[in-house]
Amino acid sequence: MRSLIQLLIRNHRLVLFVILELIALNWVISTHALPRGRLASVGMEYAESWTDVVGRITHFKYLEEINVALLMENARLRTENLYFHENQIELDQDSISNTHNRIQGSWNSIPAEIIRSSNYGKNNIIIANRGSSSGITPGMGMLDNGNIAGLVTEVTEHQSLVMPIIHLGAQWSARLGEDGAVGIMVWDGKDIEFAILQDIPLSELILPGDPVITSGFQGTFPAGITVGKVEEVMVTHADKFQSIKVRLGANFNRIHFVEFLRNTSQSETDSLLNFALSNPSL
Amino acid sequence: MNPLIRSIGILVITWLLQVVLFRFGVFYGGWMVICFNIYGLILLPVDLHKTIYLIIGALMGVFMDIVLLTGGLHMAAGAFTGLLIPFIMRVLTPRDGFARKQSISVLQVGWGRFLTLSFLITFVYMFALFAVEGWRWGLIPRALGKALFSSILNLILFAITQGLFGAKPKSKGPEISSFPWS
Repeated sequence: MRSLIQLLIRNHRLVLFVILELIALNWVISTHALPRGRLASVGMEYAESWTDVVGRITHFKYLEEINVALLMENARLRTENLYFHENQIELDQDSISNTHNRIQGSWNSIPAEIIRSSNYGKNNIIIANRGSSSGITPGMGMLDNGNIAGLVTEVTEHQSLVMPIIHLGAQWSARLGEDGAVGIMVWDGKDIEFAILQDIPLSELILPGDPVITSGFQGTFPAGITVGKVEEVMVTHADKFQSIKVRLGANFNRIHFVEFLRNTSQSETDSLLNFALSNPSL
Repeated sequence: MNPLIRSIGILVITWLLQVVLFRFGVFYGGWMVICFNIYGLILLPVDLHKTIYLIIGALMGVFMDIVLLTGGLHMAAGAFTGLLIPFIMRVLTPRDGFARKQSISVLQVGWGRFLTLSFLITFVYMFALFAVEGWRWGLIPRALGKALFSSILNLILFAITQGLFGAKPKSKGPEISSFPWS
């Protein structure tokens, strides 16, 4: 306090000048309309910007909650979409075969958040924050923003280990468009944005930009889920097949919120498969 | 007469002249404005305490604002000028210094130094006046231009006043000498 007083005394002339100017400017503001208006507008601008900053902070605080809510909503809508998609197929087929005993709404989705992810190795892995307690089981597929991203290989009570597309040991059944040829999609370990779709007959007419979707044969994903788009067609003429370079829909650099797809009729499919395996004569 | 009282008297006279007569000296849409009261500030004695310049400048501005209803413009300009007068005088001090406790005059410091000092003080005052009047950063160049032209006009007026009423050289005695060779 004493040093403050000494400082003021030492600079008394400057302090006096500031006081006199403040008095004068206050006088000017009170008697001239323009400064008063300018001050009012500047004050309003500051008040607006401050309100904006506070609003942004508040918004940011609730952003995570909003994000989770959106993810849940997304999962619900995706489940509904799958349900209606299957019903539409059934209706189309019913009109021909008139059978009514098909399974309805056999897929549903479970939202989750990625807590560990590796992109730089050859055998990458992903760990999600949902496990067996949330209904996740090995063999379930994982979607990133509606695109296939991986396959659950191991689960604990609260976490699950996922083998993503960008894993050298993974193979995926994919189809070119709605009615195109089915091939095996693998990752060549080079670029996390691309995978290779193999064993596509040379007779297949393919253009860059054509959609690549799941075939549904693996049982991991329903048919028609987006895998990516054709980036480049690679023809070697060594055999009667061509390979397709596919730009993946899943973005592994920014993967964060995902969905797991559960097939509620998996047990029936498994029982049929077990029956087929136990009776090799079939 | 005490130089300070004499200077205050001059300041009052210049203030009266400004209020009564030169208040109408506004030319070319406000680009040239007479502020004769600045002459009183210029003629304040040198070597006063620095704070006194500040107080006198602000008080003179207050009286101007009260009479001319300019609402604080002259007070702001006067205080600003009062703050800077000691610095301006220090910059323009001759090698052997100003005469102590005396007002500066052409006779003492010469026309060049007198006009330079007057121009700087007038320019500072006019610039502060026009800048506060404009109240926008965008009008600062305009305030500089107005201050420049007004300072030139006031400088001419101060030079005439100094020539007419400034300190005269003391008489050298009778022209006829008994020793014409001296």
